[in-house]
Amino acid sequence: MRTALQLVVVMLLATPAFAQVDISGEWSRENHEDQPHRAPGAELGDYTGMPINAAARRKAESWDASILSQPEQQAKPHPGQYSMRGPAPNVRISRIVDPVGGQLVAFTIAGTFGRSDRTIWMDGRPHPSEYAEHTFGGFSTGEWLGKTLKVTTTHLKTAFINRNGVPSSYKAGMTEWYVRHGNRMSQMTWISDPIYLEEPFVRSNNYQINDEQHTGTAIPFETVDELGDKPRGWVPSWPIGTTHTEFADRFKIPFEATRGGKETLYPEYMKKIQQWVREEAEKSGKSEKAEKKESR
Amino acid sequence: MRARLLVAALVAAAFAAGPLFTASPKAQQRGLTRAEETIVSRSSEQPQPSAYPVAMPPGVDLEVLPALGNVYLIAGGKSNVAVQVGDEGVFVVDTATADISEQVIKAIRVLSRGPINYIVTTSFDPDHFGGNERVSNAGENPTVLRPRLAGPGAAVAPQGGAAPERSQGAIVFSSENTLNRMSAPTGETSAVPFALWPSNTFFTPRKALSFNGEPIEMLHPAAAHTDGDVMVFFRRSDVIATGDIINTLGYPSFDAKRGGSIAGLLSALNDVIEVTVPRFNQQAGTRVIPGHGRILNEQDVVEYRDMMTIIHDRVKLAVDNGMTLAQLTAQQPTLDYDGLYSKPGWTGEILVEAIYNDLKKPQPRAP
Repeated sequence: MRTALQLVVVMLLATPAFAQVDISGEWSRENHEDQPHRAPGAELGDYTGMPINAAARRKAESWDASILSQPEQQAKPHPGQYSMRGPAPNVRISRIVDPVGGQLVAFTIAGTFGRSDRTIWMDGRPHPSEYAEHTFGGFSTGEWLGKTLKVTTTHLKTAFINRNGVPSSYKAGMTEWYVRHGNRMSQMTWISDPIYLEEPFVRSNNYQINDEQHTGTAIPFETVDELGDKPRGWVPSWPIGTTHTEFADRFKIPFEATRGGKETLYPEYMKKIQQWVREEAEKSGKSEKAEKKESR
Repeated sequence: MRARLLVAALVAAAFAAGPLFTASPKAQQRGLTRAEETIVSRSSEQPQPSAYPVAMPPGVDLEVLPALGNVYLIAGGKSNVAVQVGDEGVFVVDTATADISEQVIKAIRVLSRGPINYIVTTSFDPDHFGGNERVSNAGENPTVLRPRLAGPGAAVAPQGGAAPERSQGAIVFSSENTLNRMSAPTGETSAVPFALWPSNTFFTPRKALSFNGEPIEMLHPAAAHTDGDVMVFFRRSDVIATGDIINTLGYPSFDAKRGGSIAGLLSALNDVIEVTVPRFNQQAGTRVIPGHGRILNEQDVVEYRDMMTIIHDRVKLAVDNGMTLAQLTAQQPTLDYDGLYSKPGWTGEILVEAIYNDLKKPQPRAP
């Protein structure tokens, strides 16, 4: 009888599990997806498969990589919109529990490039005011959907979604899903941006647990005057009308197919590319014949 | 005896462990538990104090957000109000509009019971100085002796020097040019009622004082948003209030009719970047309270400065190449930023025209 009573008391006091999964640990990224986009990074003018609008295309085309020589730009961490992508985001996910009740208060993610560490609040708190500051990591809250952790992030800074100037505005919102399968974890990012995207931009990343990993986090970057001859307020940019054709030329892709846009996300777009390729081949075939005639 | 010792040990242990489970008084004021405070303080790479607003009493619809140190943002009006509080009293940057003055005063009273001693008007814009009369009258001029301190019936002994322009209420600072635009020569009607005028002005690039144990610099950039702008830098709190040099809700405006210029505006933005220092990796560090919109750090100001510089450079290239305004406008030179900053009354197109006209003006020769 006494044992049964004790059991009842223990059951009443026990915290319900709510199908939570522990995603904490040292996680190494798997680079099997989109390797060139991770390292060295997407090429200039490569907007393939990105649902960007005309404003984003203009901003990306005017982006001059020399801007990274500005002292204020040298030490930028990767923003939340990109930081789980790479390069090399081996991360440590930690559980933060209430010291009194032992309940999960938050997860923290450390180890992304430049330490835009993130806190994912799990206690149902509201997101901050529109007047609150934005950070590179943003303000994240999480909820469990079965065994999947859904994370909602706001208050991100104006930054990028690819390291070739494709922008993301501070009005962007990000939703992620973390799904653990034993020693592996999938993470999917869904970015909505009313300023620069025609449709949400979706990207996935995979990780595997690595108990021998120790994520180093003390990384204060030092900024220096790299160029020395630039005036105060120097901001390099490409003028209006600049197009970056190198990517299309190098991979022999029709230039139009590198320009991005929501249309490029769907399989039907392949037919359009094939049509352009045929037309291009016919054009070059005709011109070759004409050249031969002329040479005769 | 043993049981008593055990109880005593448990009580002592509970007292010793208390601080481990209890948030600090400052964190408790912000509604943080110990666990939350631990994360917030450990997230030293990008702490976000403004994510935790100060609770306001019923009837106050404004939001009060900690910026950093002793400086707070009162938001929700037609312009931002920055407030520094401390042992000596209250220092206010801009008073927004008169219709929300009572709420602004109530919000300040939540932060401090000390006297409102100083107000700064950052520019000749009614949405920034409309509350000057009411907020000033709720305060005290710190240079005037308080009669009540001398006891009933006692007279205050006069001191040397000229009597202050306004003996009652807080001192209101502005640049001299702002006062010139508010006032008018004797006999003429002024643009703004006397009660809203600043009481103390300066024309130098910098005026400084120490208040609440912190050096405060009033910086007066030349010919930026107008010719009378003032930015206020709280050096120990590490916060700068910029007035309308920065407006995160729109393109920064400059008014040539009121002495503003694109060159001065860009220079002022670079001034802000020069005084801001991120904590590390462009995160946190000096906070910036703009005239309108959210709290920023250096990185946000850099983005804003870059945007204005790029637009300026596009317009300048067109001017240098002899393009007409119509030809330039057809290029949509603000296409990449309009979604964020173009607003009725100050659209991207209006901004481009203003820059174009400013750059077409004969530029002064270097001495």
